[in-house]
Amino acid sequence: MTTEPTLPLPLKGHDFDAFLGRIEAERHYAGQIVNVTRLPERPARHADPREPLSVPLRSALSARGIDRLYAHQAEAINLAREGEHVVVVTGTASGKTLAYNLPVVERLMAEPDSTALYLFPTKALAQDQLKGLTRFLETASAALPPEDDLITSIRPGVYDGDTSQSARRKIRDTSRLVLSNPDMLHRALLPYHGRWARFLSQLRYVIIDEIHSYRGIFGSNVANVIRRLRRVAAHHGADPQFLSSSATIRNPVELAEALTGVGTRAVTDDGSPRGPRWFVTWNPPHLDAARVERRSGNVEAMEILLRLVREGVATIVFCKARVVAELIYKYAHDELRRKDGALAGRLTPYRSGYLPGERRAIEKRLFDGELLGVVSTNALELGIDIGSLDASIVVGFPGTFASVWQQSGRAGRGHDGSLTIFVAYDDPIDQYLARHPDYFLGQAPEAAAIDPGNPYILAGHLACAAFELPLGPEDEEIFGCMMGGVREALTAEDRLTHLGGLHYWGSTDFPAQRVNLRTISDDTYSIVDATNGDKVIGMVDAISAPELVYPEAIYLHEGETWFVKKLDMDQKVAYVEPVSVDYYTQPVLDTSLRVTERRIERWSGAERLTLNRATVTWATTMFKKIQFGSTDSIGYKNLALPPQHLDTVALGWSPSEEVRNAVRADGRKPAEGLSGIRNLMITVLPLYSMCDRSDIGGVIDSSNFGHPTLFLYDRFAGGVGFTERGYTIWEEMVLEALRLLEDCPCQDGCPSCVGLPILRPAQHQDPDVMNGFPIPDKGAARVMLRGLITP
Amino acid sequence: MSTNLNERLGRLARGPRTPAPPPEVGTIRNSRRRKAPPGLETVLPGEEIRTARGVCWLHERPLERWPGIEDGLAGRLAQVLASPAPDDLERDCGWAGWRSRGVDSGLFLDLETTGLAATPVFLCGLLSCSGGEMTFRLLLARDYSEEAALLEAISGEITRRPVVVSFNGKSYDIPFLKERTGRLRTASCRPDAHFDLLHPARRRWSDRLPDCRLKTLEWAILGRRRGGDIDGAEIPAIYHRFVRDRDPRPLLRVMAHNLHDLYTLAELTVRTAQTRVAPLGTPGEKPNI
Repeated sequence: MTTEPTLPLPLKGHDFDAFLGRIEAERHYAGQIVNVTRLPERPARHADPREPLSVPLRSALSARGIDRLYAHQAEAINLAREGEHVVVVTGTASGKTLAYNLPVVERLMAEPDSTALYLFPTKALAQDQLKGLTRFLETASAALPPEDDLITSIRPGVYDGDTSQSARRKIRDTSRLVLSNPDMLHRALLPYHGRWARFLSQLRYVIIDEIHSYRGIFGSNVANVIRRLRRVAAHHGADPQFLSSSATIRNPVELAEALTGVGTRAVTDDGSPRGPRWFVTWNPPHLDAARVERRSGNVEAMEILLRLVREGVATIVFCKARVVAELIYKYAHDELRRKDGALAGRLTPYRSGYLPGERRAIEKRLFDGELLGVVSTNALELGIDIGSLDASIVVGFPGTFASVWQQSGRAGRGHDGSLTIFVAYDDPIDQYLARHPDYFLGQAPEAAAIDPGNPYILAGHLACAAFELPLGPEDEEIFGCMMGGVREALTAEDRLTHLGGLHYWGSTDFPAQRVNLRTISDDTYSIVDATNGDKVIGMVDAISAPELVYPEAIYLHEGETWFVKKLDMDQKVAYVEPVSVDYYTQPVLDTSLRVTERRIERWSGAERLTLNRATVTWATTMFKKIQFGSTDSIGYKNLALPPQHLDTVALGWSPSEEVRNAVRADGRKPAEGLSGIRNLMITVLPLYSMCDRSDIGGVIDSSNFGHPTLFLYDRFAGGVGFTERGYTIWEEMVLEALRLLEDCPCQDGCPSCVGLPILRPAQHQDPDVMNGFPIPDKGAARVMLRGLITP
Repeated sequence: MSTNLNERLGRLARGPRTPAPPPEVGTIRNSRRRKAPPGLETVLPGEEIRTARGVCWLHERPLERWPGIEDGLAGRLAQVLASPAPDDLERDCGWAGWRSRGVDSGLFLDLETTGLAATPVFLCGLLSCSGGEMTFRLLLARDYSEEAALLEAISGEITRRPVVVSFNGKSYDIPFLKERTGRLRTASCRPDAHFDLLHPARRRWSDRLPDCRLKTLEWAILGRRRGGDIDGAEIPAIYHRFVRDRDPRPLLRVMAHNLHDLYTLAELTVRTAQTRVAPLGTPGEKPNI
C-alpha cells in the first residue's frame, strides 16, 4: 500500500456525475438510481511520534514525499515503542503499512540480531510488500555509511511456496525480515523450527496484515497457527510483539486478541486523505406496475457493466455466487459479440473452480490493463494486485458490510475518484439497503467470529504442535480449556504418546499436511471434458459438488454451457460435454435436522433458547431448468443422489404458548409467524456474525422437541461460532428483526422482509431465481415479535 | 481424520467448553494379558549413558564379531588413508582433514530417523577404529524423551572423533542433526571435517549403474548381497511401535541394517580410494553385474 499525497488529484477523465446524469436522461430509465452519495475528499491530519524518528528513516520518508506522518501512523509507532501489541484499523490506502514498517525497521536497526516476521493472507500481497520494503530500506540506507547498508543487514525475503530451495536456505540462515503467509508458517516453518532457531530466538515483531480476512474457519485455523508460533518462539527464547492491520471491521481488538491470544491496543483515528467517491444504490424496477417482483439484478448489473465498459471505464463486477459470475459474463459477452465485437475480448469472468493457470493468465491480463471488465466472485475481493480499476459493481449484498467496502475499495485504489454501484436483488436485505441508504452507508462493518477452540480445528493443530514440541501442561494457557479433551482424544487414537507428563507425536504421519487452513475439507471434485480425453476443465469442492455438477446439470464455465453426463462420487469426477442450450439449471435441496444433544439452554423472556449439537442431512432431490435472460422456469427433474451429513451446532428457539396464542387471537397462524421469523433471522444473524447467509441454515421443526422450534445452524462441521454468537445476542436480533419488518412498507409481507424465500441457501444458487416461494404472513411474524419485546 | 477420532471430537464439540477431567491413571487398554516383552538388555546389551540432557542407551560391539564381516578393515582403511589417493580425493577437504588427523579420528555415521525431515532421530550408528580394531557403537533413544540425550551423545562422539564419514551425510544426516539440535537446543553436531562418499562414488560408478544407492553399490561393487534386510521405509513404524509396546525384538533388525550400512560404507571407502575416476569415454572398473 502506498501513502496518498495530501493534494487531491484530478479525476482520470471519468466524471461520474455526468455519467449518472446521462443514464437518468435516457428514455428507458426507470428510476433505478435510488441514491447517490458523493463522498468528498478528506484532508489529511498529521502528528509526530513522541520521540522523533532517526535520520535514515526520516530521509526515507522524505524520499517518498512524506514530510509528516498521519495521526494514526504516529500513534501506532508510539504504542509499538512502548511494547504494546497493536492493531491499526484505518481505510484502504491510508498508510497502514508504514505504521508497522517504521517501528519494525527502527528495532531491526537498533538490535543487530533481531528479526521480524510478516504474514499476509496471499502470496501476491507478500511480493507487493517486499518491493515496497526494499525500496524503503534502500532510501533509508542512503543516509547511512555503506557498511551499515540496511538491505545487507536486514536481507528481507519472501518465504512462500514459490521460493526456491536455495533461496529458502539463505533466508532461513541470514534474513532478519521474512515475509510469508499463515499456510507457509503452518506447513513449512513451524514443523521445521529447528532450522529457524536463529530467526525465532530473536523474533521481536510479528506483523499480521489484513486480519479481517482471518475470520470464520480460516481465522480459527490461523489463530491456532499463531498460538503454535508463540509457543515455538517461547521455546527459542522469544516473546514477539504483534502488530496487526485491518480494513473495515467492527471488533478489531476482539479479533486481534482472538487471533493472537494477547492483549492488544487499537489505533483507529484515520488521518489519511481520500479522493472523491461516488456510491450509488441501484434498485431494479418492478417488472410492471401491477407486479411486486423486480427485474433481474443480474441483467441490470450486466447493462451497467456494458455502459461503463463502452465508456472506457475499467470495471469489476462482484457476484455472490459462481453461477452469477458466469451468467452476467455470458449475458454481457453475448451482447458485446453482437454489437461491439472489439470489446467482447476485453471482458472476462473470474472465480474459484477455474484451473490455476487460467486464473494467473486472467490476473496478468487485468494487471496489464488488457481487460476492461472482469466479472468475479469475491475471489478478487482482496490480495491479488490487479492494478487500478475505476468502478466496481456490487451485485447483491455480499453478506458483510466489510465485503461491500472491500469490493468498493477495489475501484479507485490510489488517488483517483471512483464509482461503486450496488445493485439490489429482489430479496429482503438488498431491498432494505435500497430503502435505507443512510443506514447502508452508516453501517459499521460487522464483528468477526472465530472459534480457535473448535475441537475439529484444534485437533489438527494440537497434532501439529506436538510434532513441533511435546505438549506439556503449561500449553493449556496457550490453547485454552478445550486442549485437555482434544489431547486425550488424540492420545486414545494413538496419534499422541504420553510419556512422563508430556504428549509426543507418535506417528509416521506429517500432521501439518492433514490440516488445510482455508477450508475444513480440501477434498475436490474434478470436472472433466468427456469428449476430449477427460481433460480437466475445472474443480469444485466436494461438499458442494452435488449442488453444482449433479447428473444432467448445466455447468457454466467461462460463459460456455456444459452438460453433466455423469457424476462419479467415488472417484470424485464429474464428466461433462459441451452442449448448446438456452437454459441453466438450479438445484433443489431437501434438508432435515436432528438434535443429537442439548448443550446449554436459557430463557429469553418466556421462550426457551437452546444451543444444540445437531446433524443436518441434505440431498439434491431435483433440479430446475431456468431460461437464460428471462429466468423463467422451463422444467424440472427428480434426482436420486445419496444424502450428505453435517454434524454441527444449532440454536433452537421455541415460541411460548402465550405468544402463539396471541397470534391465533389475531386470526393468524403461528406457523406462518415462525417462518417469517426464521427468514428474518437468517437475514439478521450474518449482520452480527461476520458470515454469509449461506453459512447459516434455518429450519422449523416440531419433531425434535415435540413443539414448533426454529433452528439456526452453522453450515460447517463442528460449528464455527456463528449460531453460538446468536445464542448470546438473541434479544438484540429480535429487535433488529422487528425493525426490519416494520420498516418495510409492504402490506402483507414481501420478499424484502419476512419472505426470504430459501430454506437452505445453496452455494451455487442464483439469487435472481430464488423468489418463487410462498411468502409467510407478515402480520403473524409482527404479532409474534412484538409479543417477545413487550412485557 | 479417522471415524473414531471424529466421534471423540464430536463428543467434545457437543460438550461444554470446560477442561477435560485428568486422564485415568493405570488403565489397561488391552484386557487380554500378554506376556511381558524381554528387556532391551537381552536384545541390544549395553548401558545407559548420561549426558547434559538426560540419559540414552549405548550398545557397543566389536565389528568383526558380526557374521559376514571381513577381518582387517581397520588396516585397509589406515593403508589407503596413508597412501596417495586419486585426484578427486586429494582435492576433497574431508579426505585431507581425515588424513591429517589420522584414521582413528574418523567416525562413520548413519542416522535412523522417524521420517524424511524434522522428525525425531532415534538411533545413530557409529563405526570407528582404535588401535587397529573396528568398533560399532549404537546410540538409541528408548523413547521420544531421550532424543535430546541422544543428540548430546552424538555431539560428544563427534567432538572425540571430529571427522565424519558418511554416505550422503552432507545433504541428509548433518542437516538433519542441525534441525534437531536447533529444535531441541542441544549441543551442535558439527564435525571439523566431513568426507561424504556419495559424490566420489557417483564419479566412479554412476554411469554404469541403475542408481547410486548404497545398496546398489554394495551389490555391484563389493559383490555382496544382504539376506533378510529390513526395508528402510518400515523403520519409523517399528520404532513408534517399540515406544508404545516396549518390545525390543524388532529393533535387532534395525540394528543389523544400520551396522551393515556402516560396514559397506567403510569397505566402499577403501574401494573408492583404490579406484581412479575413469576419464570420459574409457572403460573404468568393470562393475560386478
